[in-house]
Amino acid sequence: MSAAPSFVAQLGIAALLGGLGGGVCLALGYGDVVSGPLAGGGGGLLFAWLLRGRPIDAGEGLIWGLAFAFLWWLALPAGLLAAWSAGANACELSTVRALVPLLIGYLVCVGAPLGLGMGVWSSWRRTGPRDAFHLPRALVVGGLAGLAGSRVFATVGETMLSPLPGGDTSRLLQHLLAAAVIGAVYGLLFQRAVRGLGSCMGWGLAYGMLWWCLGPMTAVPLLRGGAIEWSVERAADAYGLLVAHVFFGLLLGLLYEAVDRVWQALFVESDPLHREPEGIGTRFTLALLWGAVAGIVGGLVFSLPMLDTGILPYVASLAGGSGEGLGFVVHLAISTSIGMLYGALFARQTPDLGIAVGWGLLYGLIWWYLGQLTLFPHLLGEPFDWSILGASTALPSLVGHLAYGATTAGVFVAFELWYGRRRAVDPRYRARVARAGRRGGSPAAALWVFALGLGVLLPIVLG
Amino acid sequence: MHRFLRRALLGALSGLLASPILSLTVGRDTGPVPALLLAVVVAGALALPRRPAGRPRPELLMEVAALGVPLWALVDVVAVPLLAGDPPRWTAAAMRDAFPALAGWMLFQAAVGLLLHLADDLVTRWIAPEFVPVPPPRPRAQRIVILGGGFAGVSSAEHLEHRFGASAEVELTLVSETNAMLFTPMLAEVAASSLEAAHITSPLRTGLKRTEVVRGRVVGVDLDRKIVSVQMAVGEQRQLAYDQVVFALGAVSNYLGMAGVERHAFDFKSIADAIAIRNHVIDCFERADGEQDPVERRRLVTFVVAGGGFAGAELAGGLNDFTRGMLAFYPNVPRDELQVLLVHGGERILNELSEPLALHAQQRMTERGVTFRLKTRLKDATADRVVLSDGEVATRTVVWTAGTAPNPLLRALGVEVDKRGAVLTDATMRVKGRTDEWALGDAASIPNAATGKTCPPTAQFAIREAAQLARNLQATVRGGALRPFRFAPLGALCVVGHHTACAEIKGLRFSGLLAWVMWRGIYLSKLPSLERKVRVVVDWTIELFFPRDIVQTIELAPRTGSNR
Repeated sequence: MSAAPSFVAQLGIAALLGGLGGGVCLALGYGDVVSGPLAGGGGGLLFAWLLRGRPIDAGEGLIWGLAFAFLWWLALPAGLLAAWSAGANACELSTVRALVPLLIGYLVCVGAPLGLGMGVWSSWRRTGPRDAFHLPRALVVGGLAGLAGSRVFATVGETMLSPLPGGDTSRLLQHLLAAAVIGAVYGLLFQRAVRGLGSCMGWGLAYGMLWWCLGPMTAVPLLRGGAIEWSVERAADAYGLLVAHVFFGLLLGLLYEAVDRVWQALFVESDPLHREPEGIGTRFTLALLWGAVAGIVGGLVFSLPMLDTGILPYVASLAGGSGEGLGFVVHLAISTSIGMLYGALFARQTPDLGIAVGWGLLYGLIWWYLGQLTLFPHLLGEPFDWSILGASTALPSLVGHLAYGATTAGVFVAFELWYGRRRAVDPRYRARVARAGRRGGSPAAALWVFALGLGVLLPIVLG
Repeated sequence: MHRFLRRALLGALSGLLASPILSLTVGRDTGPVPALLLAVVVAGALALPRRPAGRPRPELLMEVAALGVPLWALVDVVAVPLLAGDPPRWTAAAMRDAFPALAGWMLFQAAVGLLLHLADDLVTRWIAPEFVPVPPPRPRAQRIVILGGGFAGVSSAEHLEHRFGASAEVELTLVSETNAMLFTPMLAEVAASSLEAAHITSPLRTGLKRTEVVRGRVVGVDLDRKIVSVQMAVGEQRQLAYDQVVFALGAVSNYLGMAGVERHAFDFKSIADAIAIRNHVIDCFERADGEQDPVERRRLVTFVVAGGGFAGAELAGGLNDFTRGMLAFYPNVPRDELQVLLVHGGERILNELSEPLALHAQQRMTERGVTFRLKTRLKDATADRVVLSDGEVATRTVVWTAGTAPNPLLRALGVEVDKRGAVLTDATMRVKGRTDEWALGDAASIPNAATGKTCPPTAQFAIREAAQLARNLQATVRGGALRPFRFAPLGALCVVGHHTACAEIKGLRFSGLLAWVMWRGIYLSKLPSLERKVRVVVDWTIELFFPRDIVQTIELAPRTGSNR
């Protein structure tokens, strides 16, 4: 089949998938003909045109599809259509609140199937060389990571699919089975895409958010024997489960990468042939050092909103004091530690400033969930609050966390680029950089849009 | 059109086209005109760093869209309120008020990403592609060949790498007989089994980044044709053409014509020499332990070091510590039969130090068991004795440290040499009468502009000379002015036994434990590469808890028929 008919077929399939997804939304009572099947079909066409000629697999397609669906929903139903048909201002909070059900519909019925479908189509049509894929590794490693990560749901006192039919043991088994399956699917989808502990967290975060849409918002009501309920109220009620899914995703991503490395060492390649000019200890030490400096700079930027909002005395209470000065010192110590962790997780994964800022923003968002919503109250001896009320209260620090992440990542990549320029005289170093470079077509940028968009939008809109 | 102007214009155009999104959302707070200006400026700035079509279309769209979040925080949460004289909108309620701007920024950015790519594609197709300046053709790289892998040669290569960075102006080559640089100040500790041999040698290929390392022996230099002939470690000779050549060939032992000494004495210049001495000393103890004849036993455990300079004194001190420590494991060797004898022609050892300090060192070494024969010269050596100017000593071990001479190849170059055989240079280290030949280290006779005297052949001077030589070579390649070598020596350090050393730094004298700590600290800092430093510190730490190793491990005899 020549390239042109293939693209036409691709357009047709994409339009069909998008239109069908929009139609499902309409059938479920969300949206109308324009914002449902028509917008879905149009979105499918645009999506296929955007990804024209790009070889993707199902996992990459899924991430592209979710990000595209999010932006498409923001642009059409929440933007243009709202302004045109309802006479409301574009993207007004009240309009967007009312359209949250359609957002979930777009993600579940349009973005995910469209992305997966195009990914499967592209994989099927692909003829050139591609990265190796190991099915047993994906299933076993992903399943194990999913099982281990599912423990996070114990902290919110719910199983992922509760309440399910049957007794406690039966529900627990179903819960574990679901977690293992979700983990295995993660392995199937993202084995080729993920590399490095840092980006694994990003993939896990997005995957967790998707499963919040698929699980508590969609599948659980059906399993209860009821109807799908994508209402704002239900989304607000389930916000705690969103945070739980985020942590599940983060753990899943981290554990997957960790177990995958063990798997590779045991069964694939225990002694990599690509030797490095420096030892692993040197690289790790440098990453920690640069991360520490970057974390301090990020902490200084973050301290501006903290000073303005008067939260530093609360931070000081972590060290048993109450003064702003002590709070500032504690804050900088925490910033330094988290910066070092950034260095350890993201070393050599961000080749330029734009990509570094993208991952940095995501890192900041992760620490908003982990630090502000969870660890901070926990360390103060208070119960942490993952509800939408708690998230709403913690909103002022979200901007600070994002600024911290972006600044830390920016400073860190500046160190890496400086070091790279210094070492560029060494042909072995240049060869290593070439090897480590992420191949073209990475959906990392789409991942940032989806995770950041949903992560920032939901606590604002649902609160 | 200049590429940055083109990018800025394309960005501004994309921003203008996408500006209605910003006007409808952000513009509610700022007004339409500031929103329009903001759109043009932000999109123009976004387009500047790289060609828009350099990123794939969907990636650019998403990457730029993700940046909408921090732009919203920066502009709508912080900047706009501050410009209006209000505090930033950190509160949840205020952020909800600013929500349309968040959506607006993300959509605006996504649209800019898409439009930028399209605009770049269209302009490239219909008008012209982005102008990429063609770099002017580079002149042929200057080939700088450094002969010698010691302190002088390796330091020169390192300084040249640092000065030229990744520049293609030069090609650097270093010719060395070994594939590692020996850190000679710690050589006595290897012979005395205090340090592992490999730990004081740095592999040239890991230390040097862009210098081609050629392992081989320089057998000739044709100064007229500018070609160096190298006998490779394996195989045929190789001819290396050069534009600039640096002679850093170091020195060799000078036996002053004494054939018996040359035949029977151990040399003390290389790592192989130190390993051989250590193994021989252990072997002597093994044989002495089973020896019934007291005369032969005493002969076996009598160790003669010829030469009372730094090398001889440090080796004698180290061997004294090592052998006296070994007595515990060889119960059949009487303590009073062990002798470490230092033979020196001068009235005192360590001429480089002031007299009181040298005498102090001698006294400390005597107290620790070293025997001195001063104003005495070694005249001959056989397999079982040495002949001194004032008698004979029965021994099976003699180590020669009493004389060195510059590499004999230098005399064959046809350039001016001094009476030692070192190449005469001017103050800039350029070989006298030549323009493209340079010399430094033990192989050169360099006038020191700071003192007016000739630089001594020490590592301290060689390292400083290398820095200046690299500067002058850079000036030569780039057409700058040459500068004379100028250096005031810092002082000298000598370790004469465990926890015992003497030092003279900038006129201040130190001895004992403090000097020993200074010796270790200073030389550890000079040891190349962190990895080697860590290995040496580990060795020293092990020595604190365990006795020195007396295992004979190295097979020194070459294998018959092997291809080594």
